[in-house]
Amino acid sequence: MPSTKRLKIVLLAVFAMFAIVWFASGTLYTVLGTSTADDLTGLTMPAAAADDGYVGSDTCAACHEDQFKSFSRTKHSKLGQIKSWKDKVQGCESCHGPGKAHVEGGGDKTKIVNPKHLDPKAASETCLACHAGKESHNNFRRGEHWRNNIGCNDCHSAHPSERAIAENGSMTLIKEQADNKLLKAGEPQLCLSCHNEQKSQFTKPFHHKVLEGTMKCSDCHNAHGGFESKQAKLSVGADVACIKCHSSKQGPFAFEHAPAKLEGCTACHIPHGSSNPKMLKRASVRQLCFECHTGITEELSPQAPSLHNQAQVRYQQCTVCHNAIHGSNSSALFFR
Amino acid sequence: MHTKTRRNLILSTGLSLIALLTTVAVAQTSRPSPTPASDEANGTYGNYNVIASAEFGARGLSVNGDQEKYKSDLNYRAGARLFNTSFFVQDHTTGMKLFDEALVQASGWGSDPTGSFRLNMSKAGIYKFDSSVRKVDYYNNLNNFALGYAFPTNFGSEHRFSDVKRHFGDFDLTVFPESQTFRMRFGYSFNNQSGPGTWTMRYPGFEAHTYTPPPVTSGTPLPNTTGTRGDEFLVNSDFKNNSQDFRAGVEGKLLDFNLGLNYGHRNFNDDTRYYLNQFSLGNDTSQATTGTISATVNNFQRTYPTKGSTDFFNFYVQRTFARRFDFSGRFIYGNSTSDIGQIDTGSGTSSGNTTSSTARVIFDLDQIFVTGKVKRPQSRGDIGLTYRITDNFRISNTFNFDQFIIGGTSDFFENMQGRSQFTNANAPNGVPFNSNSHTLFTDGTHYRRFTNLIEADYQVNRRFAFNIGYRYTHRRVALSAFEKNLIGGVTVEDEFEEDSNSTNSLILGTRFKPTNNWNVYVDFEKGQSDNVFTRLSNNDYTSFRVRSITNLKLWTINVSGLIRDNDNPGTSVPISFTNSSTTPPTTVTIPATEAVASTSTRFFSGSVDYSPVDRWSFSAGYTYNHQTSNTDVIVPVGTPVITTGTAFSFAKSLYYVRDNYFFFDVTVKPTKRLTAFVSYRIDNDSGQGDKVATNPFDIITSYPMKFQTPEVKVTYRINDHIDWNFGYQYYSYSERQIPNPYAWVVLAGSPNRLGTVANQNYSAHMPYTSVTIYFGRSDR
Repeated sequence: MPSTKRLKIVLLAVFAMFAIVWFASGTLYTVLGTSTADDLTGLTMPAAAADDGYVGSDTCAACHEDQFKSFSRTKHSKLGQIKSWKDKVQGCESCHGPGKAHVEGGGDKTKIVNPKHLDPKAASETCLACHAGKESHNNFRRGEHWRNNIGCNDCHSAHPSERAIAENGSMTLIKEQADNKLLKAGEPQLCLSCHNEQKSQFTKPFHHKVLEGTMKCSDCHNAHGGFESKQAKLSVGADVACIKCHSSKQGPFAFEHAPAKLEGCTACHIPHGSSNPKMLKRASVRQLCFECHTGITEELSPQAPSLHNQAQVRYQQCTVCHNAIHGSNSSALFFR
Repeated sequence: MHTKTRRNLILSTGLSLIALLTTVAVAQTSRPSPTPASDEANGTYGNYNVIASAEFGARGLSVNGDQEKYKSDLNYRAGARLFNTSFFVQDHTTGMKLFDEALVQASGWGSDPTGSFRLNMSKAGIYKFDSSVRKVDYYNNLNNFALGYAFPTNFGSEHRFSDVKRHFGDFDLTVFPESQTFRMRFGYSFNNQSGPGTWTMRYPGFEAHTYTPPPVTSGTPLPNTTGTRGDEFLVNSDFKNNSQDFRAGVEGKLLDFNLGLNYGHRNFNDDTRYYLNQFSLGNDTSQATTGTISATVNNFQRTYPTKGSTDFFNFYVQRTFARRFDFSGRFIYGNSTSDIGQIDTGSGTSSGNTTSSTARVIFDLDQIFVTGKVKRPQSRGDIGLTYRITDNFRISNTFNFDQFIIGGTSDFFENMQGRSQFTNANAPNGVPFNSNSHTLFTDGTHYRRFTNLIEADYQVNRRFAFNIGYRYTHRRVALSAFEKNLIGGVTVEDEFEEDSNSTNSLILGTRFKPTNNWNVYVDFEKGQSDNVFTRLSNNDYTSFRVRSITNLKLWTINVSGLIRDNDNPGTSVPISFTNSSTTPPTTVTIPATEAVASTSTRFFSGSVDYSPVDRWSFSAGYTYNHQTSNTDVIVPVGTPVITTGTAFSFAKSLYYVRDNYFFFDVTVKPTKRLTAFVSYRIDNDSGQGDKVATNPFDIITSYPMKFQTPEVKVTYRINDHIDWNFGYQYYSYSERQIPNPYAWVVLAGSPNRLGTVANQNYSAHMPYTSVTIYFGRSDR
């Protein structure tokens, strides 16, 4: 039996085993629960928790009506409808802490947690208490945003004043895409509000269509951090994000152009945008090739041979002959 | 996995999923909910909240100048189009319902070259569904001065994609998304590309073909039939490749560990066809009746059926211990396979001489068959640890390793039938030949890298924090190549080379808040990075970045700067380069010097947003990108510049960017019903300025260009739900060639090559009108 087939069967068996163990542990009922038809808002507190200084979100709503209303529109407000969350703290006090002392103190601000007054890392720990378990958030504490004191509240709002709306400005470039992830602004405007230098790259003649709305920054980057450089995402297993769409470059090829896999696509290309065709790092293809294929060192990349007379125009266009430059299945010199 | 088995598996998985979701939905207690009052201004319609906007428009178009470059850059067409549109609905009914909230977005369909459609739906406790479908009309023109001008005027140069359609789709379903104990994930993606274009090929193959004829009993011996080098030809292509991805996984919590296990599979097919159905002279059109004649093609067909697949699984684990110690780990294993198939069939002639022993060869039939299989198993592991020693002080360590091997075989078989064009009494119709070559190639690429980053960050107080870190990377690369002639049994090539290197980097950073609404970020990094290009040795790099963001009541001011230098330490010993192309090989010695590979980058960017009142807002920005790349290379130059044969010389490869980008957007509401939007963007790269090569070896390039687009749009509010827009947008693009006296040489028989290529300047006028429809936008 081919090894690949065996691997697939093993993986399916492990998957099935997980499901069986989980079903047998009786957690299905916990997950499914029953609807809380009697509670339209879903903002309830477990009875046991009330003794710990929690008063319930309805109490908060009495004074903070606007925040309560905007919160009620979000997914966080629906947690009370899920049985697996009924024994957990949800609602306003899941982020702001127990409210009993704050209420009894006549709204004493020192007796309630306001994430706006916390430093970003401390405020983010509140969010990570629930959101850290998913792969996309697991490395937030080791990411670039965290390192630069950009916390969850810098991009997200738990009770947003704005809702999921699209904003247009130009007739050809969008301003913000509508979003349902509690972002303070939509992509790309949100990202460009800090990373403003990228806007010029997306305006170059050859660019990924982010400002046009066809792509998002989050298609290639994980804003919540990651193990990869520049918080780039992976695709198709452990491959670079580029391969997700540019599948014809994935390979593997019988004759690999080594830098494409060893250095990555950014060895030759500028991913956001470039004046150079094909978003290359150099205006001239031959220049890009010569900077590797030069005899200063013979290691790993051979010198262009003498017949490549650079005084003749036919030899200045390397990829006219070496056209399978990302890898070839039939020519070690990438002729086909 | 067999196709039928896979289909059955997908079908059964899908049916199971549907059954599960239906069961869960029915399990919800059904009870009619009271109908609240409607508030259409805020988008409340009974139990539903609806917030929507949709813009439908029509664009006029007039393009002057280079149409091809316009299509490559912009590709907007005249006609109707759908612009940034969204439809968001929340269902507040209780009981059985399909979703709690759904968001539909669409943009760019119709006369726009790119379009997207996104659907996000969710139901608390049950599912979350995210999907997007995108299309791109890809037109890529490369006929410009920077890429050279290898073909006559009436051909495009190199590889062009003429209206290739690209479609992408992603669908992801999470079941029980809010559950912390158990979640399931399913995903499907597709990626298609198809359309016409042009490609290039070298024909016949580079390898000289020699046929030794039988001896003759009398008269002049028959010469060897030797085809020499070929020529470059432009061929047609029908691009067609696609891929499909399937994903499934489970996530949850076990013993307080957050765990996830995902499996994925990708199918990839490339059925691109290349063909040339008419006689072609190729690049070199010299067709003298005697003497050296260039190669020609009568016809050519290539089919390239390649099938690939990737199977991978991804396991992750995360846990925070006592709110102090955070641990996350990930392991990915993937195995990619390509099944190779290629068939070339063609006929034509090689270049050569009709009268001498290097006879021109006529290929009546040249067939190539390639089969093979290549695999790439890859494993990647990552571990991240963060220990919060105090509330203000944390230490983190991140360790990564990445390893893959690419190995496979390519079985290359070629049959050539034809005859030499040389004739004599012994061969009045030329010397015929029928030869086969059969070669087995086995190439391998081995890669292993691990990286460790340790860092500490300390929050001194709310206004000041700093971090320090150290990164170490070690990498080993090995390349192997094996080639064996299966007919003669001779091993032609058996090479192995290996390289390893390590890099060290120091990272420093600080963040401080001079005031509550002013943040300043400073990052400094110094160390070594892989020298991607010349491989002299690792680069020493220094990177300094500062960013300041100020959020005042009416103003937001963002200023940033980046300085980055990559310097190769070079060498002070003479470099000897052996030219193995000559017989015997010759050695070129470059005098003692410090071979250089250095790049300096300077980035400055500033932007301001000003919104004093609802009735008007202003934003503007400027970005300057200054880059100079200086790399020592060795370049071969021969006739007609160097008349004594080809000379290799130490040369400079210089690349310049001097790019200025500026934009402003102004929105004004002079009356309650009228809104005006004015925008201007300009991108101007002066490139290398007046610098040109002063010798035939140096390569000095840039891409001087100017691209600007002013725009005016007026919006009239017809009523609470409808706006009418009309506007005008103008695009202007111009580029400037830098003359290089050594770049353009007349190719014998091709008088059109001397001189420069026409600039690809264009301008485009786009009048536009549209209607925007709103629901539930009380903020308008």
